[in-house]
Amino acid sequence: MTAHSDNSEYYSLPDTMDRADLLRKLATDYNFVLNPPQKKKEEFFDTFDRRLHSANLALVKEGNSYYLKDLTQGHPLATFEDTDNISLKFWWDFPKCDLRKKIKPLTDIRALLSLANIQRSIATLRLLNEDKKTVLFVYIKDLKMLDSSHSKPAVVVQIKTVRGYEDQATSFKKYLGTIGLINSDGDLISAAGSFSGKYPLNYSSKINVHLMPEMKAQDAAKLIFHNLLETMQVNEFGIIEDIDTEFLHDFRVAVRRTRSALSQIKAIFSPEDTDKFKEEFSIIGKATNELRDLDVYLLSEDLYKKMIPADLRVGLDPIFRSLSKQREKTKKDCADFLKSQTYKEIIKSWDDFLRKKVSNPGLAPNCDRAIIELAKEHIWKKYSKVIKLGRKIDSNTPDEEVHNLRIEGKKLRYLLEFFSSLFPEDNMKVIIKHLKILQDNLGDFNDLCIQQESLKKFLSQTDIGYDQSKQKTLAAAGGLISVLYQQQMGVRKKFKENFNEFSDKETTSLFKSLFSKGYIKSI
Amino acid sequence: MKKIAIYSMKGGVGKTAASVNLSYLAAQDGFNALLCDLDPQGASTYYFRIRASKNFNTNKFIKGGKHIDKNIKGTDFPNLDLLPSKLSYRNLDLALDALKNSKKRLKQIFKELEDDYDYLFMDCPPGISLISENVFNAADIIIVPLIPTTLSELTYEKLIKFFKKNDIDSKKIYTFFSMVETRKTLHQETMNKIVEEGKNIFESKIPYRSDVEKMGIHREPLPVTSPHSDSTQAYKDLWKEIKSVL
Repeated sequence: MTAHSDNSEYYSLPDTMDRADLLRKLATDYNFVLNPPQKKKEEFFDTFDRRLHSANLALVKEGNSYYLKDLTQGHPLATFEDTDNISLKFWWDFPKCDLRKKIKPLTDIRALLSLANIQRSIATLRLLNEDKKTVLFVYIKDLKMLDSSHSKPAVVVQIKTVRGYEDQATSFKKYLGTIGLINSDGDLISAAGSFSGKYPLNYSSKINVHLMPEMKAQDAAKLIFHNLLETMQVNEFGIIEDIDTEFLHDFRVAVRRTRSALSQIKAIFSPEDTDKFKEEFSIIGKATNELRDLDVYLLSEDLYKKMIPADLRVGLDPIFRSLSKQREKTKKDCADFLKSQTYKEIIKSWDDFLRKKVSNPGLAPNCDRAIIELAKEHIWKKYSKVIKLGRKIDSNTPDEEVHNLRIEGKKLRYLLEFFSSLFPEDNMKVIIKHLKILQDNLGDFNDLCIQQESLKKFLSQTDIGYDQSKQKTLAAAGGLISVLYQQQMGVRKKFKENFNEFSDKETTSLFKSLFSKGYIKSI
Repeated sequence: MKKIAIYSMKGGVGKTAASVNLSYLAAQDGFNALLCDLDPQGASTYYFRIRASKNFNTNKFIKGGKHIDKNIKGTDFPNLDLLPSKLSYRNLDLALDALKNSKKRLKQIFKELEDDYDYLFMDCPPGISLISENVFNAADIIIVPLIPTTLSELTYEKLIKFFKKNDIDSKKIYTFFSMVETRKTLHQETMNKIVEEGKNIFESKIPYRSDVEKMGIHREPLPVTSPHSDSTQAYKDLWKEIKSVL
């Protein structure tokens, strides 16, 4: 089908004017036909972290139809008619169609949440000439958010030129300017896409703090801790309601970062306080460990199955069935924990602690030092340790030492993230990129070890018996273990290469210039 | 872009009504459609309440390209544009005759619109002339409205003969019965006879109805003014049949 470009232009009303005012004004100056407003209900969907919106898209449901729209132009890129009224939460819940193909790489494992219900009322005006021919279409669109009582309808006027009647459009646009309307750059759909609804608008699991070099270390740390606490809190509901696995993942990353910061940024609180909260966050970590492990396995089901011959794949089914059953229970335990008094008290006392002003240089000698000094010291020390450990590793080094390096590397990564706002962005990007390559290698190595262990543990704990289907499970698990082992060996082989990249001259001198003594960020 | 000519040697057989309603229905289907009013009387143009620009004339039409582009007008309906006719089109024959490739100019002109529209409809002037021959060469399908009378039958036969003589593919010609009065025995008999002997005859018949006549008063396509009438339904059926043979 041929496509004609949309020549629409958009205007917004001044605050002092509503739709009725505009119509009254137009009626005195123009000859037009007004079609009564048509009301349309639209439901906007996106992931919790607004992945569609970041890609300049909106997923809108109208009646039974889903439209994937381009935010600036408003026209649908793909549609899907949900005639069977199925529950659509993830991209894989959509039957094979263009829309599914388009949202798959964007939403990935994140669920689609209903962010806002919007009522759009569109009145169409046709401006007529002396032959009563339509020479211009004017759409007056009211947009109201249904779930929020305080929202005043936003009004947008869309002008659609009729081919061959451009002069009339030009003069009408001038007229709109004289009565106070303002040219705006798009349809309300972009505004609708950014409606906050009940979820935060700019959620990111990344640490988002802006530290000043001369800030007192304790104050700076509190900013970091607070940011992490917020991340934990906004993710709680998603874990409790089991919306998707990323809520727990982001939550746990924030917990880990908090624990890491508590032990790594030294002597900014009294040892007693530090120990208390370290202990409490370790409780939170433990309470969520099992669910995350299960999530990881269940998410890898397809990947695991592809690793072994097709006829053995059914053998894995009992394993995944059992894991998924186990997850039901674990999920409930985890949700119960987050709703428990214990958890609430931990969070409350931490929040109170962060808000309290305490400066006790006696018990916490670093609390009043400039954060930049502390940041440099810690990063430089950790970096030196990672380099020292890494250089020692060769093909004969036992696995434990590789794990050790992984943990130290992670600590370094966290430090860099905590303090990245103190250093030039470009340099930090390069450093984190190189560290990430090394970490991915070590992370893969670790995951592959754990996965083999878990499979072995599963086989030893479960009574497999000897009938034929159980033998298939044994064969499949055995096959999988050996593939994982092979991969682990491959990853280990690549370690040297990845480590060398991280410890090359360029990265080393960058670390040295930024974090060894004497560096001052030029502002 | 599929090019559909609504043509008849005789006048007053329902060409304009068919052009307006069929092009409207095509646009309603979501296709981009252009109705090209080739008749100097400009009835289609009038029905859509459009007036051609003062500067537009036969010579500009024959030149094609941006001259056509500048003069295409949007109708009141989405996806439907119209290239208005001018009274000066009465000289179209002479202007065409002066050209080298006088019988294929229209085809060349429309070639430039190829990417802009899915369907191009031609509302053709009556008679058989150089412009008609241009239409025959340009169109993928030539639809002839036929009032079921002996006289219409004769002109229809003449048209087939003309195609054969001039070596134009007569398989392009399709017919539908127009202004049919089922109560008239003559209409019924003529239709039976034509259906028996002829080829490419659409089954949908457009009845003789006052709402079709009144299109000139309402100046809007029939599906807009009488969405539920049996004549509207007949045009819808006809459009479905036309789509299926294209």
